[in-house]
Amino acid sequence: MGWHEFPLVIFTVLAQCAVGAFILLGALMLTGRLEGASLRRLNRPMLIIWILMGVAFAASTLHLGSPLRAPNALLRLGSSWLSNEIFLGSLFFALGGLFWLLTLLDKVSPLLRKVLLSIAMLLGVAFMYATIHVYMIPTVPTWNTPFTPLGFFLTSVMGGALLAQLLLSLSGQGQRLLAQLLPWLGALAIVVALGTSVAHAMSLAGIQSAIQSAVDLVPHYQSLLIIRLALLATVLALWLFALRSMRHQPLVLCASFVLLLAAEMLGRNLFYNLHMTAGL
Amino acid sequence: MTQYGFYIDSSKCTGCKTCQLACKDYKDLDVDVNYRRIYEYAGGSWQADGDTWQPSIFSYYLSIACNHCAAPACVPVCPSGAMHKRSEDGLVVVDTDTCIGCKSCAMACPYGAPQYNARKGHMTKCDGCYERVAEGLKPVCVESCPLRALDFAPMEELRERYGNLAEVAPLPSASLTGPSIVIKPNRNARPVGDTTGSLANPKEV
Repeated sequence: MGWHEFPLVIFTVLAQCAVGAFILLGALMLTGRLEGASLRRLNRPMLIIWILMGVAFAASTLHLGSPLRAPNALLRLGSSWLSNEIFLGSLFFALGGLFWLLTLLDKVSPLLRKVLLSIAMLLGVAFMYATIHVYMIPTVPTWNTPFTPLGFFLTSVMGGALLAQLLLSLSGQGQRLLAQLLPWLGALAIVVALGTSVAHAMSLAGIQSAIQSAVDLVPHYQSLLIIRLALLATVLALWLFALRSMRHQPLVLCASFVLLLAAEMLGRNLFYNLHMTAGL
Repeated sequence: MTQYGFYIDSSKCTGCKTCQLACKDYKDLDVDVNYRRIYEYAGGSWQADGDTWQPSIFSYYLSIACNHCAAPACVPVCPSGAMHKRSEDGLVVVDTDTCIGCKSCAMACPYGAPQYNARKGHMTKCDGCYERVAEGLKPVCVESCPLRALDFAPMEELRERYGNLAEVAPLPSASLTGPSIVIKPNRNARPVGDTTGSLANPKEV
């Protein structure tokens, strides 16, 4: 298995986790049960979301042969999904970051901040939607399947829920209703991910061109998939364990999140290695 | 718009790769970049002949550069607009001053036409030798072919002269991108969608 698309692996996985966590925590903030000090307490560790976004975008430029020309990626906005993805991702980063900064400094009215938050959340969704379309290329039969949007969405849900849990824990708000619902959401997403990964692996048998078969693209695909699924099971176990042990909760959640990143990056790398075209 | 395209006579082609080398020389390409690639599709089985079994084998060559498709897969995915289809001759060309080297076009093209040049940091590809074409010359690969198995002309002309076939194995279905090529099939050619053969020279393409 090659790692030649590792910059894109980092970009997509980190961005999906960051957007997922932002939307979940944003929903909590929009419900209005988070005011004043408790809002600022949660807002502070949310810096991690923007660090992840920063690393994601920095990694994405490493994918380019001419990184200094990166702004050219916006030239076909509206026509190329890659242009759309970069534009929407940057806008999400900018407006979400602005919301975070204004909340930190307690500037402008809460209403205006909520409007900004809502726009940033919508941009996050649009960003994820564009990422999916970048890979739904009609001439690439291994990517142009429902498993691509499903896999990307699951990374957002699993990673977003766990990261949101970690941030709530770091801000000492683990007793909130959302914090209690997150493990259920995460567990559901992980179980769905287990099932769909197996279904996806089986679907590969039906994809072949005259000179390539999808099942031959990645040696030891099944073993690597089992490693990913075992990692995800460990993530869930650590996650649930963390909620029972109050003392080292952020630390255990952090370990769980690192393992989740490893699992999803392995899975995403498998995805990139499954690239083949319908022809030569 | 005049759409130019290639005629590929697979019944004549011996896989000598003179076209590939002539292009490499003319365009001064690195070792790992080939604007024109020669695919050897080969396979075989046994056929019952009375009480004996006879080998039934096939092997033929397809010399493929860029097919300057009517609906190119590389153009819509390009985020910078560097990959574009020229309005004057229908040739698909990459503007190397704009290209960011994201390799999206290479991911999408089912013919392997866009070729990444790691040294230059951007995509490169067959441009149909449009400067030669503008002077009334043929692309350098066409003129180099010792078998006269390649031609280049407006598609209307090629189709009138040679027919409409634009797909044989191992090429993808022509309905995907509408390649501007006409193929004269080898007598052993397998139809598009065939999976009984294999690529015999994977390291050469």
